[in-house]
Amino acid sequence: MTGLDLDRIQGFVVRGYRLPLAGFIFLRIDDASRAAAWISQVTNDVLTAAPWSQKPASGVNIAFSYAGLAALQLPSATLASFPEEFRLGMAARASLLGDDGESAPENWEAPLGTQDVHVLVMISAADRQALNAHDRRIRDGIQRVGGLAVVADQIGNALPNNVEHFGYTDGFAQPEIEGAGLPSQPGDGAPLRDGKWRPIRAGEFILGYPDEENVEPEAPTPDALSANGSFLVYRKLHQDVARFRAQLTAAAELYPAGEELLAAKIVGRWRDGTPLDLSPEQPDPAIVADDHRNNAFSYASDGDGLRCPVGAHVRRANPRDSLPFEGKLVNRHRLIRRGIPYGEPLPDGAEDDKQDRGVIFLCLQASIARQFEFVQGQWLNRGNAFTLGEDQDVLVGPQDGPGPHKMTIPGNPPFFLGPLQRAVTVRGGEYLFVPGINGLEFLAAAAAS
Amino acid sequence: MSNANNVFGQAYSLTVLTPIIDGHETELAEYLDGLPSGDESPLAGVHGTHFARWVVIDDVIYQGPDQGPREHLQHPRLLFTSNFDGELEPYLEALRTGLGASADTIWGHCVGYPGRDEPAFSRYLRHHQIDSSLFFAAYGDRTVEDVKRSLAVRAQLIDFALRAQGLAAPDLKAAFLQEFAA
Repeated sequence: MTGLDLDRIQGFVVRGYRLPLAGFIFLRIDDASRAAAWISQVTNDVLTAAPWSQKPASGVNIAFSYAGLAALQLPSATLASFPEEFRLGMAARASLLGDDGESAPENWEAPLGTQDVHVLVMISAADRQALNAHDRRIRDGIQRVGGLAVVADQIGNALPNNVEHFGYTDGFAQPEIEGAGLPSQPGDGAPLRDGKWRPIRAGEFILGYPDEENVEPEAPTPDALSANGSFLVYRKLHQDVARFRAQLTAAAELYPAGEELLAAKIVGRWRDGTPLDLSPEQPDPAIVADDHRNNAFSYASDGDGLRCPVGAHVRRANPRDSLPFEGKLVNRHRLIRRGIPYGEPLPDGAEDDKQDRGVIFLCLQASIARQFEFVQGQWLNRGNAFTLGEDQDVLVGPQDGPGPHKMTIPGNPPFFLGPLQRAVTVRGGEYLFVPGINGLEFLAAAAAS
Repeated sequence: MSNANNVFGQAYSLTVLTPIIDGHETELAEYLDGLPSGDESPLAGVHGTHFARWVVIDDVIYQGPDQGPREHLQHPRLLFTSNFDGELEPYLEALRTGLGASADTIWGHCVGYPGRDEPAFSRYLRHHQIDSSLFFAAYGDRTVEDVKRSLAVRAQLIDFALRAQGLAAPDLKAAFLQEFAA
């Protein structure tokens, strides 16, 4: 097994902290050498993936946009060695991602999607007090050193019972990373023929380690900068809860098995998280509570999607063994998800209060083009890979292009959910590089000189 | 050229590899990059095209373990591939008339392009044609018109299914006949 240099990998790459609060601070670099001094100081504060004996009350992680690396005045050869999609940024990739209409970059919250977003500081915390204390420490540090300006911030807050705003318990499936030394849960890794699972090679997520092709992934140069690094997608997704509920309730009037099963068919899990594949008739709290069962399923015996529809959100986003070659190609398109909701929940049955709520979608990978952009652009926004025609993902598909937009729920007779309207709107996003500790040291040294 | 290597069902796969005039590859690639897609594409005017593309090949790329001396192209090439309905000769004529001035702009960057006069144009493409050997046409036994008609029926049926869902059987039958029996 490949050993990971856990002391030099930022902690949230390897493990979800499962802390209920997050503070995101976006910075602009106005002076490269002062920014270098700040990076050098904050590096000591960065939470790494080293095993902990006691979970910290708060931790901080740092990421840089391409504009940020350019503002640090790295050599042009180094800048040019970053992948094209990262250099262009999320806003430039709007058509590929389906970010049109309300989700188009011209409607994003400033300064997301502009050249003013250089650094993202992410604070995770157990409670408000810990978050505020760490937030103050970070801002004081920035103030003291100078050369950096806070251009935006964002709070994330987990909702009770780990639900997201549409009411689904979230966060079950995560790729198991080889060498991470974390407990193994069936269903997290790569499917094997005998129904077992193996961990995904670390190079799918962390630069400098072999990936599923058994080579080190393409990485920026030099290695001192890229090794132990990863690429991060930050995407603020507004959820129109009232619209989602109204669509669901209206459709359920025609769906004989009722609204809760319809809600489960859209996602592939019941709202409590029970996988439809394991319990297609009703939710089963015993499965949800058991980490060895709540993600332990494949679609091998459900090719037609009679239990879990082929177009269900979790099946599109991670088709497991249901694509050709026993899912081997799927292993090249996995995402580590670190998202957290923002905003207050809309109470059941409440009128639309027009409040801003949704999820800060975060994912980590070795290649944004091959992983996030492929999953969003090909699997969620298009139906081709699954022979679903023009169907888009019900939750995060833009529902644009030629309509009517619908989802087919296989059965006898099948049920057609639609016409669908966009219920999730992109409010802004960034592509970021998450250096390893060595990478942070490299940046501090390079920008200081 | 043997048809066995270039035909699948009723679809024909044309592969043409023409040498680019030295120094012209960047200008050609930029022109191709700027071509519009969909109905605005010059290929939209070439009847019977399932799928077609131009690619500037400036070198042969090898990825994998080192296997000794590497081969390189002496001159860049323009690859044109197209899957289309029916026979080669009528399609070459469709290219000549359908692409119009775009044909001149594109192949004008290639060595020996004679312009769109016949028979020089089709002779030029045939001269540089190579066997496709292996190709994939999703609906090789259906023409572009067949596919478009089928997609239109599919869209109509989806639209109907959404509208008619929940109707009682007699009403469903009546609605179906009204929509599709014409």
